[in-house]
Amino acid sequence: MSPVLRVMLIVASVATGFYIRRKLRKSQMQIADVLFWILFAVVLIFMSVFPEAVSWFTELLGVVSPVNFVFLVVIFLLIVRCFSLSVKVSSLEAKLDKLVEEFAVSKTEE
Amino acid sequence: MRSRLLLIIPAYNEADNIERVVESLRTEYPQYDYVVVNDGSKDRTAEICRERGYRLISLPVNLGLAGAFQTGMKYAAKYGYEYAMQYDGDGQHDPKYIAAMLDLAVKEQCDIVIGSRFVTERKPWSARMLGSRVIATCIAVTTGRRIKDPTSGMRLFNRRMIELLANQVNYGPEPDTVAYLLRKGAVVKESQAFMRERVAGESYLRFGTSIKYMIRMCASILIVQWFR
Repeated sequence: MSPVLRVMLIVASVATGFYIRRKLRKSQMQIADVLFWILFAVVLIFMSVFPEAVSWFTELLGVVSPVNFVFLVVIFLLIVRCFSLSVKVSSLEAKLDKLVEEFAVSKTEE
Repeated sequence: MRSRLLLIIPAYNEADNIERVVESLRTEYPQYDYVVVNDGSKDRTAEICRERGYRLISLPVNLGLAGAFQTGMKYAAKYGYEYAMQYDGDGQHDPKYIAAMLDLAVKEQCDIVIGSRFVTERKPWSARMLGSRVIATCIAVTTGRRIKDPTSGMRLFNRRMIELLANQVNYGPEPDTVAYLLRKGAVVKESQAFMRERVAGESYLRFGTSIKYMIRMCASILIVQWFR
C-alpha cells in the first residue's frame, strides 16, 4: 500500500467521523445506523495504520497485491450494507403502504 | 380527575396477558392513569382492549418498543402528566412498587427512577444477569455512576424527561438512553422492586436476540457516546 493511499484512507475516515457526529447531534441519524459507519471508518484506519496486517492477510488469501485486499474488504462491507438496506427499504415500503391504506380507509365516510 | 402519573403499557401480541395486567391496575390501583399502546399486534390485543373499554392507542404498523413507548410519551406530554412510567404489558411488573418509585421521584426531584431488582437484593450470577453486569460496567466506565439494574424495564420519568423523550430521535427506553442522560446531568435513582416471571406470550427480548441486544447496547454506550 502506498503512503498516499494510507493517508487518504485516514483522512476520509476522520472526515466521516466528523460528519457522523454532526448528523447525530442534529438528530438526523439513528444510533443503529451510525454504528456501521463508525466501524467502517475504524476498519479503514486500522488497515492504514497497520499495513503489515493487510500484507499478512493478502498472502494468506493469495491476493495479488495488498491494495486489492483493501478493495475486497471495502466492497464486502458495502455489499453487506447494501443488502441490509434493501431489506430495510422493503419493510419500510410495506409499512408505508399499510399506513396510507389504513389512513385512507379511516378517513372515508360511510 | 387526571392523576399525576401515567402508566404507559406497550403491548405487542399480548392478547394472553393484557386483560390480566390492566384489570389488576383498574381494580386495585385506580389512582393511576394508564394507556395501552398496541404496537401493531397480529393477535387480538387491540380487540380485547376495545371490548373491555381500556384506554388504548392502536398503532396501525409495528414500530418496535421504542416507537410504541414514544407514542405513550407523546400522549403524556399532550395531556400534561407530571410523571410517566414504562410498564410492561406482560405482567412482569408489580404495581405495588409504583408508589415508592413515585415518592422517591417527588422527594428527591429525580429525572428518572428505575424500579430496580437489585437495590436491597444481590444480583445472581446467572447467564441472563451477565448481560446486565456487562451493560452496568459500560455505564460505570462512561458515566462514573453505578446503575444496579440498567436493563429493568420499569422506569419512571419526570416532566422534563417526558418532553425530551416524546419528541427526540435516539431516546428509546433502553439502558443507553439512561447512560446518555446520566452524562448530561440527569438525576437517576433506583427503588427496589421485585419482578414476576412472564406468564404467557413472547417478550420483545428473546434469548437469541438478547445477545445481539447486549452488544448493541454496549456499542452504543461505549462508542456512540463520544459522538453525541
